[in-house]
Amino acid sequence: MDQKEVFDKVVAILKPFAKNPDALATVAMETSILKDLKVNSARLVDVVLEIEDNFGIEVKDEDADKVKTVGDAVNLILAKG
Amino acid sequence: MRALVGNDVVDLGDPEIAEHHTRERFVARICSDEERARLAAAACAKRYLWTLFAAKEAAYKVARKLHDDAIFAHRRFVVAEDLRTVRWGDLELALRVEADDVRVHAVATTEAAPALSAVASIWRNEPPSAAGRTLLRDALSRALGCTPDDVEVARPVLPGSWDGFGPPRVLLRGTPIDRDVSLSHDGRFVAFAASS
Repeated sequence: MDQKEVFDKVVAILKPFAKNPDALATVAMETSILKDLKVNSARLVDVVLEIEDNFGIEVKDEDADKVKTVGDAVNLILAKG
Repeated sequence: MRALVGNDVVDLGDPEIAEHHTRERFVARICSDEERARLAAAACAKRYLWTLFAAKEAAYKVARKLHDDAIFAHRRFVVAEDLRTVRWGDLELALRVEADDVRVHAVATTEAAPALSAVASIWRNEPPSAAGRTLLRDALSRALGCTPDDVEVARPVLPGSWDGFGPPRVLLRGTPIDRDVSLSHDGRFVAFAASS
């Protein structure tokens, strides 16, 4: 899976958890998941679980804690893929 | 050392979190084995799960102030059965939890003395961050014997943090005061805690 495919899939995962859907219209690698999309910390756990299910990977707490932007999530998935 | 506080509020009316207490993987990610056993026996599992979550989030906010490299690994923040302490490694924090049918509010502190804290509903269309600051300024001005206009809540720039800013600081008539504060919001509620 290339970066574009992973990016699109990550955005699709984030969509139902984003409290600021307007930010999804301009979502990019540098978009902040918490600040821009306004995914709260509880729902961020849901996002991590969805990423594990969708990509068949394990995301450790240390890795999850480093995910601040959409690009961080994409790069984490690509690194584990 | 200056006393430190962290707080977290959870809106239990959010339909999106209504069933999380039944989701095994979510619970396993958040709770230690001992906490999971307590959750399974809890009279209101939903409220108990979010009580644990809020307590851990509040404690993490304190841990982050003490250690820049603290990570939010929920299971490593262990909430005592009596809900009066949270342990993270060697650090034990005092905990106060207020919970009812509509929300949970947790305050974690490095000091035994109770922190000043409050929860309020957000007015419709009011930005949560502004509502939280207003709540904090009003409460602190009463505690300090001044007017809300004398109290300013500022967040210094902190590169690398989740939104580019560090924890809030309080200034009284432009001068920083020796009270640590914490703001939070979720759904219909805003909350704060301030060290005593």
